[in-house]
Amino acid sequence: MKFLDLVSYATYLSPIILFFGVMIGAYCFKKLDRIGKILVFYLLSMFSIDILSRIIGEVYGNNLFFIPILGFLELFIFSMLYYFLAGKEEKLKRYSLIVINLATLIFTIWEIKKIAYASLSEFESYSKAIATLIIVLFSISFFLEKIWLRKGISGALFFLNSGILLFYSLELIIFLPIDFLIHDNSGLKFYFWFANLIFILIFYVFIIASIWKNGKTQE
Amino acid sequence: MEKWENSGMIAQGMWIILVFVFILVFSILLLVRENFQRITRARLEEEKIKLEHQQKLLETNISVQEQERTRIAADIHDILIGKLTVLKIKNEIAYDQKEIDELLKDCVGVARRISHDLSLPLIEYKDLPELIAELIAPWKPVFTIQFHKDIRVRPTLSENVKIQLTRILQELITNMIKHAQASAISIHLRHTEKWLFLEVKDNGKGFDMAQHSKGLGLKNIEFRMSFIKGFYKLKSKVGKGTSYVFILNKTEF
Repeated sequence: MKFLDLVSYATYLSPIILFFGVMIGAYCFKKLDRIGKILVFYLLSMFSIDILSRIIGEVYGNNLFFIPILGFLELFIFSMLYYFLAGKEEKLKRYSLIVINLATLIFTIWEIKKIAYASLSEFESYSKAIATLIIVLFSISFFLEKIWLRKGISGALFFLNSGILLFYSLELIIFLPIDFLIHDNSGLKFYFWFANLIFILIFYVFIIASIWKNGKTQE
Repeated sequence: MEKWENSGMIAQGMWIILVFVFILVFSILLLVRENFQRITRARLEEEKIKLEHQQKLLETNISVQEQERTRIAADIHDILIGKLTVLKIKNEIAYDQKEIDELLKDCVGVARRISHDLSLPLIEYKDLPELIAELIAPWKPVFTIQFHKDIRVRPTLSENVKIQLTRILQELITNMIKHAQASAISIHLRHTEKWLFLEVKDNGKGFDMAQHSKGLGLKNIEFRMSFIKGFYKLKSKVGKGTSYVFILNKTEF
């Protein structure tokens, strides 16, 4: 079996894990708090994007325009998470999150329009990297704010935010040279896609574990 | 094509950056974790100190209650019973209506004072300035007591706040006369929409705040203030008297 085949087969793990995650989320949805529900929504969105992009890829032979959509969706969901974590009294932070999301949405729409009329060799996308960078900044600012205000956080929230920070930092490094990951002809790019797949799978398992723990805690 | 532009070089660079970012982020997370643990430890320590302080205040309150009981018992035994015994003997040996009336009047006075000490009379119908005025009235012939009031709102203090502040003032006046040997006391009460200030000053001998530890009286005052969720400040200098400020926010009225 060639490495490329292994990568191709391994990609099927993603919808399987996501499906299990969504099932677990649905099972304990009523017991979850707001954060847990957002995480279930995240898994469901990722599952839908995964399935849709596979179908579109099969039918049209190109599903690259899903990259900016994925970036925006991730940003939107994690903005929601930090929006609720900010609390009602932090109005400025909440408004900034809304403005950032609107700006990214406009940029994403513009980029999708650009990609739609471009050929594969002309493909160029930055919105996923930008969205990932913003999520990393949200995560860091969340920690810094708690440290500066000398506010403690629960262990579950610490691990969730740590997971988000670690995963999206690595994602950022992977998606920054997206031109290389799309246009490289040497085959080396598949090692990075495989690494990215491993990161994603670990992150999904981590999110599922967080949902499960959240459900158990609320019991 | 430059050497750095070939796929192998880019891939190698990316791997190095990936590993580097992973180590960097992981180290940052460890540091953040350590920081949160430190915050939690500091909070626990703070809570422990608070709890110990509350415990001490509670113990003080219990001892003050015991002392108060002893004082009331002594008042009843030494004054009231003493006067009643004299009355009984007088009645047995020589019946003098005028003298007996005088003694009975004294007994009623003592009983009233003890009763007032135990519970402030008609507290629900009186506002704080009235209670303070009543409290300082008996001391006015002996000491110079000035009472200034600046009431800017309709007084709507809870019974609890009125009781505690009156008790605190009672304790302070006793301390000022007994320990500080003051000859003049000034009381300033200010009640605005948001705050209530009560300032009490004396011209007594004062004390060195650095050397003087909190006595039972002060601890009791602290307990009463914490009970009504107010805060107070004390200033004193040897030879320059002592001043106390009590502050209450409207949420605690």
